[in-house]
Amino acid sequence: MKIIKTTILSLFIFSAFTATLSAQEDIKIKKSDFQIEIKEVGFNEAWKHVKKGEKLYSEGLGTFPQALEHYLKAYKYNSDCASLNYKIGVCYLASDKFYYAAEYLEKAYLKDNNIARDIHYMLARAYHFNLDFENAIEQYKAYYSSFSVKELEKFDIGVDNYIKQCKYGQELVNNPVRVIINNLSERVNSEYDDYNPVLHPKEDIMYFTSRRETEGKDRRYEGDNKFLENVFTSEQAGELWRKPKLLENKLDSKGNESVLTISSDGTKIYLYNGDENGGDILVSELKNGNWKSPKGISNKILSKYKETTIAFNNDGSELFFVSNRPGTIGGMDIFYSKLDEKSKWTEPMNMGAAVNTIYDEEGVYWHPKEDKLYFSSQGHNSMGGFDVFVIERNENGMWSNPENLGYPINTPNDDIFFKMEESNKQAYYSSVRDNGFGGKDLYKVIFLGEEKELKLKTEDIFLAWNHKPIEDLFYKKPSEFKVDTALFMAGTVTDSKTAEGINFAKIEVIDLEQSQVIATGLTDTAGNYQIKIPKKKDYGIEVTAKDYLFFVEIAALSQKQVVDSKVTANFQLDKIDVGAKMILNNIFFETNKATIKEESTAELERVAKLLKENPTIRLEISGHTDNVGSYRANQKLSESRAKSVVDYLIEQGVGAGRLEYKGYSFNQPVADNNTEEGRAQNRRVEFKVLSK
Amino acid sequence: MKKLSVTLFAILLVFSSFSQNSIEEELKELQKNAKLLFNEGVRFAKEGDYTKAHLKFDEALFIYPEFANPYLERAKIKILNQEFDLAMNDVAKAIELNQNLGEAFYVRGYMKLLMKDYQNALTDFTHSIQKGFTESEAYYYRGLMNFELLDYNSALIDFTLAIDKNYDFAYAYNERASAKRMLGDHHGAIHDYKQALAYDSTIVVAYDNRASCKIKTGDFQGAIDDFTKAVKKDPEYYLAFNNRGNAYYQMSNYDAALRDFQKAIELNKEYAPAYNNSGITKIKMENYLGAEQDLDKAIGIDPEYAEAYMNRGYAREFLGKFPAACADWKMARELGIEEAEKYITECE
Repeated sequence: MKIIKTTILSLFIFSAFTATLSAQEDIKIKKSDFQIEIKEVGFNEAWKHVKKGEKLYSEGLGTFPQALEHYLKAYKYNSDCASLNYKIGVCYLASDKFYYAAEYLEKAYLKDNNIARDIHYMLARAYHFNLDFENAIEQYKAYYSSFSVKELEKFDIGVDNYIKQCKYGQELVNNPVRVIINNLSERVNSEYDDYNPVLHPKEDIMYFTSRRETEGKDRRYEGDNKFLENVFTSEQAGELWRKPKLLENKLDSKGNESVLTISSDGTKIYLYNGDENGGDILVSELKNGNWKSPKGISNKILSKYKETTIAFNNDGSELFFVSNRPGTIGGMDIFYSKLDEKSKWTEPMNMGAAVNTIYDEEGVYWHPKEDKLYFSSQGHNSMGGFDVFVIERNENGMWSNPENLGYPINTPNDDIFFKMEESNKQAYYSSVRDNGFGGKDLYKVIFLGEEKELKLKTEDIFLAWNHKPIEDLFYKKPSEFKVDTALFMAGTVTDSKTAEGINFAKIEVIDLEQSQVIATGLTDTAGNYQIKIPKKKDYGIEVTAKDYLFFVEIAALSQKQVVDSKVTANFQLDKIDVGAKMILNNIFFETNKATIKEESTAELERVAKLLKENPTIRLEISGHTDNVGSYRANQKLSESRAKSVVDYLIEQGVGAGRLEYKGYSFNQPVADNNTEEGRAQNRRVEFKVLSK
Repeated sequence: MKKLSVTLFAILLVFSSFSQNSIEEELKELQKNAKLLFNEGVRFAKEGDYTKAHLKFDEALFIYPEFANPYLERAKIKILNQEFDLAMNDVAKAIELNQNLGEAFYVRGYMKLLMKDYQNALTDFTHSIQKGFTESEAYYYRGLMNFELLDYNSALIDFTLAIDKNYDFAYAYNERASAKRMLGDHHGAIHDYKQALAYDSTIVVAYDNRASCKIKTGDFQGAIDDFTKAVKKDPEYYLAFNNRGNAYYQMSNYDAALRDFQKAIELNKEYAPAYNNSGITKIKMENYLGAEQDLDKAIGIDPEYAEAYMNRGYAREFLGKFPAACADWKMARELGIEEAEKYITECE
């Protein structure tokens, strides 16, 4: 049960897979376990696949993919067979489709807890590869517990290191490095192992090792039943690599071989040859454009043991190589040599425990510009299989501690043959990843800079108004102006003789259209008055005052100017004195008759009122005519009309003794009888105060 | 002869005096009638019949062209009719005729606000208030101007004055909340957004704004609920979809985030930030090519979108397109993102 590190002739055969499978038990799928009693149909065909699968499985890793194909066909018949699930799980575990393994192994364990002695180990490896470190640790512990004390004393079952790897893995996965890892594509990689890329320093050519099936090269290596190693080249075309070609010149050998490195001037190529002396490093020189037959490098470097990869520092004065010669700390170790003063290589020295571990180190590579040595190791803080590490030499010649290049460059599988470019921007290496095309594949690692913050953009409309403006929010409804539309009639009422203002004179405004009083006002002590009138038009005005004769006229306000909302109308009143006269303009008679017309009523009532308010006065009512007609006729008409007025007043209750009437014909004209206007004025009724 | 001259002078003087008085009286009469026509216009305006109101204001100005108020009211109606040039002429005339007509400054301020001439709008709103036009809207608009001019403290005071004059002024609550938010008072802002919605639940922007505040206070679920309310009230509200996407993004729910960003793009194909956000979500989902395409679109829409250049650089870095990534970071640096400098250093 011990993990056996076999000295093998291939550059790279020992792997995380082989480590896994070195512990695997070759349990057999029994017919009785596989056959379903009630399901005859399909059994024979399925069983044939089981038997073919079993045969291929037993032949070793190299034929596991073919074995898996048969197992999966058989699985269609019976998916509950514990041993079949176990075998499928193991095959997947040994492939680049390792992430499917856990599902089948779990089922195998579920169906039969004792399906295999190493079921916990296989489960642990499956979880380990899937980065499920907690479950992996649990299964490793379960595997360890399945051994007796005696067995543990006898075998090194090696789970301690795996558990350490899981713990390192947790740490590395939680702190990933920023890289892009691109598969070099199906054009370059095959379904078989492809590894150890070496870039020519001058030309856009990549050499790499492949164990793919190749025409005329169908030998399999007995250690793992895979095809032998061969070197292929691929030319770079922009970002892509062209379809690889088999290296068929003098560099080609019949056994395992691999290009290790090319000198910086491109004139020397170093190769691994598995057929030579337990595995040796050879060198070929470029002469006239052709590689000469490779020869072993310095005897100081070579031994009867295995020397695999080699790297030179930039001026070629130092070399680093990997060997399992005596003096290793464990397995393959890195050794160091330098040119002495005679340009001879010094005796190689183990790089020491700071670099080498009890596990294998492999794949040394010197940085083309800096004092850095890259290598892969199964020890240190590997998260599983080979992880890539780097050590750097300071100005004092001291090496730093190996630094794991981190996840996702490193995985629980083998990550190896790492070749950093001079710019430190990209590197090539081989790895087993879930986007592979089978076995190990060649990958390009692109190193990103430091973590960069992504710029998320949030936008808000802070102001609601900006989002959906209420268009009339700004609109404030207007207010009306206060407009004073009132009009006033104003003025003074004065004594006609003294011009003094008359107090308490009453002014009545009569709407002529409606024949009614619409406004009334009184004078103040100065005789001033102001009466609000609805509009500017002609009104009838009647002014009365105690001890004064009344005054009546049509005020032509429409013709007057409005000043400060006022129209002015001044009135003069005659005092009631003996001999005072007043023309009664608003007494109208039928033509040539003494019959008083209806519209004379207001004027007559005013005269009656005057008499009632002044009960001591006596009046003479006189009639007057124009000069049209005879004197006598006019005298008679004027007297008749005066009498009609007196009769009316008597009817209104005025004592007859207070009234006299008289006709004056046309003897007392007030206007020119030669005009119609003058004659109209002369046709009138007057009164005269006879006594008070 | 001398006597005759004196008499004639007296007559002329009387006549002149009479003539002057007559003109003044005539003027007053015109003013009164213009006011009566103006009042008729006001009554129409109050009833919402702005066409008739406009006609009455025209009539008022026809008989008395020196009357400031009809110009002002006519300007307001023209603004409602979006006849801004004519409105500006009217309001300028109103101010020319009456420097103390506070509302005229308010209306001119409003027009300058529409023209995004915020500084002069602020001056006009201040004049309007100084001249006695102290309506809540005057403080509100001045607050808007202060906000736009990044004077959030003054904006806060103005919105508060607007609310003091009109306690249910929902818009003023929303804007005050935003001012508080700018001043870092996220809890105060959330309260004001709540008030805004209490008085007017149709202000969907308040849901969106409140949600953004909730994110600041760590209440992502509350934020998503508010964003959801916003998009339910206004299914065309692409910003709210974009912002909800951001909330999902920050909660690492990239599927939901991407759905929202895509919806925002569907609603507004010219909205560059949604493409940007969709792009970085795709980066998180390791779809770098898709991310680059989205960021191409964001930059196509807005060639000066610095953040999109930063992000596209990131996507291109993952695609191994280093020269292109470096070019993007250089562009981002030129556009003002200082942290791009260290990425450029990496390129070198």
